[in-house]
Amino acid sequence: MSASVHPGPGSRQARLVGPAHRLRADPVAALALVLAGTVALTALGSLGHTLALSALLATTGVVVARALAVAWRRRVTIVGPAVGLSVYLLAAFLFARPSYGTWAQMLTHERMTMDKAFGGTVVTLALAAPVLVFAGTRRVAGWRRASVGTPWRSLVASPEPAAGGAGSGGRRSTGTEARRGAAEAATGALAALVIMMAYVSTESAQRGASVGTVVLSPVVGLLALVGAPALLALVVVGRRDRAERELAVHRQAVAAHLHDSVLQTFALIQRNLHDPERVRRLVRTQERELRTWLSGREVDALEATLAGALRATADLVEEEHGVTIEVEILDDADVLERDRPLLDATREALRNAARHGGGAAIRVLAERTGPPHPATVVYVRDDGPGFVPDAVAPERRGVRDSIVGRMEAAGGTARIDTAPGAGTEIVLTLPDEPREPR
Amino acid sequence: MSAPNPNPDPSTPPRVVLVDDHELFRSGVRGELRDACEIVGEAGDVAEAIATVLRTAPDVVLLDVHLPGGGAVEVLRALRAARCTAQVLALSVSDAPDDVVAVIRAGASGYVTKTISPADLVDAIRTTRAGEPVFGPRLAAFVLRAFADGPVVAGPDDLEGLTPREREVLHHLARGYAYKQIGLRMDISPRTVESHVSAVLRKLQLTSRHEVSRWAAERGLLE
Repeated sequence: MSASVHPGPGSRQARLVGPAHRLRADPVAALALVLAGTVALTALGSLGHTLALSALLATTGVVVARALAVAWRRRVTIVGPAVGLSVYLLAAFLFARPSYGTWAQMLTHERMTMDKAFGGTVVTLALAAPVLVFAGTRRVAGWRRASVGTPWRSLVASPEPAAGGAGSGGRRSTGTEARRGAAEAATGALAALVIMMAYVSTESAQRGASVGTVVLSPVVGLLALVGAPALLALVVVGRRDRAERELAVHRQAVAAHLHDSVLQTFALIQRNLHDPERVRRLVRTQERELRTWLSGREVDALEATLAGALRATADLVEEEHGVTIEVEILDDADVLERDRPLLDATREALRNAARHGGGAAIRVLAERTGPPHPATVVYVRDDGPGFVPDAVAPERRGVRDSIVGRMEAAGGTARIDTAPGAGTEIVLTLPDEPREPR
Repeated sequence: MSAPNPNPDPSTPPRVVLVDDHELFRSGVRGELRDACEIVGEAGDVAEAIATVLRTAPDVVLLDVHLPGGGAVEVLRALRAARCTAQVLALSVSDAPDDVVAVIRAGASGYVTKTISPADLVDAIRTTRAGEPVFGPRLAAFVLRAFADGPVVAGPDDLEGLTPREREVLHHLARGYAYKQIGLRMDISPRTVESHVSAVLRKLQLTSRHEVSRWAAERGLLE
């Protein structure tokens, strides 16, 4: 009988009015509270009657004020509070205007029977049903995410139990706020219901109902209150299970990926501890791969874009030469077949920089230039020793053939910007429209 | 308790406070900076960092972006509230521009990644002490992207776009050129390059441009 569904002490709604708080905390405690209240109010006679009515009105006032305050502060949809509000007003109206006769009075006009007490409970539940169902459906999402919790709690307690526990990811959606408003309304409605049932029991006792009826009426009512959300919860259990299965599948995919990538790399690193350079390259390549994966880009689809193709090219040269290459993309674009020479020339420029750059960092910057001559431009720069272009021996054909020749054959240009001590920059330009042959 | 001398004598070693939650990283940086800088304090979290900087009034704070207790942005806010004039150089292990832009907007005058070479780090600290921004290639590329569709503005005081000169300087930075090399290539003095970069830094801190503001809003930098 322990209060296993106690909400966190710091939870916002734990500061609700007393009966509502107890009710949310534990249905058993709520039941005990109602029974004790019923006995006490019955013993007090007509004073108890008045007290029950006052308590209902006071609770209504507090709950309505809170619901409005929440709606105002959060600037959320006020559907939940509005439905709750109408229930309170209806209840208050029925109790405050005896000349119209209340259902309680109708039921207790004659000697109370078990049937009629139960009927009164059903009417009460019917009044509260919209609130319960609304609140219940709004809470389903939050409850599905929570790995612990009872159906009761999921429907009535705070959607963020124990402050950020159940992995809702920290990011709050507006849905959460709406759910909170609905929870306020549902909580208030339950509080009103409990007091109404105490009132019915008190009145029944005054009209000479049997002890069994007086006691059983709130018991049946509360069982229904606990049972209805539980049934609703059973319906959503299927949905939650499906979500859990999806999560499990996802987790498996993550595990498989980490195994194929990170764990493999760890194994390689352990075998290559004697070769720091190789370890460095392995770490670097793995880091790139992991970053790409974390960013949600598909590794396979990478080379379909300029950014992906250039990064793949950079990875290749890093792997070959053990250098560090930083790739920066100002404008991305799809890679077309005719971009192939640009990528090949970039690769050769990077190899050149890796061979002659003296280990200095290499940077790639790619951009698209606009009209009047739209083109893709790739800058490859190393901060190495640089060279005198004219002094390159004729037999070193790398730059001339594989970079300049390649670009010109494709209708583009390659400019080499270097001087001793000033590093080297190769600028590759591929116009969208090939230039007219001269 | 703020630094009394905003323009200290450049011939003296800069007084540096080192803020990073990894003791190993701090000891590594301490070793690398020993000859060129005077480490006057160290801290491992936000509260300690604020207290140490206010107590020692250093020239430069080397500030890790990811700190327990609120991150570098919290430290920068507190230092600004205390009217501390120490220059802050942010150190980031990530190369994600959002982290970098967040600290820049909170008042850091530059950032470098933790993979920087010791010599470059010393240079960056000296530049930071002189009140000049340290603008890495990655940050330059981010700014170019953020301002890509912006208007070309006439003067440096227009916050919504870059001047052609600023754009050219950033473009060179993104390609990996150092301030001095940019000056040579653009035929302007290194001081002029620095003032262009300063203007861009100010725009980055103050502009309402969509992409920058979105980063800032997500990081809780805009109230």
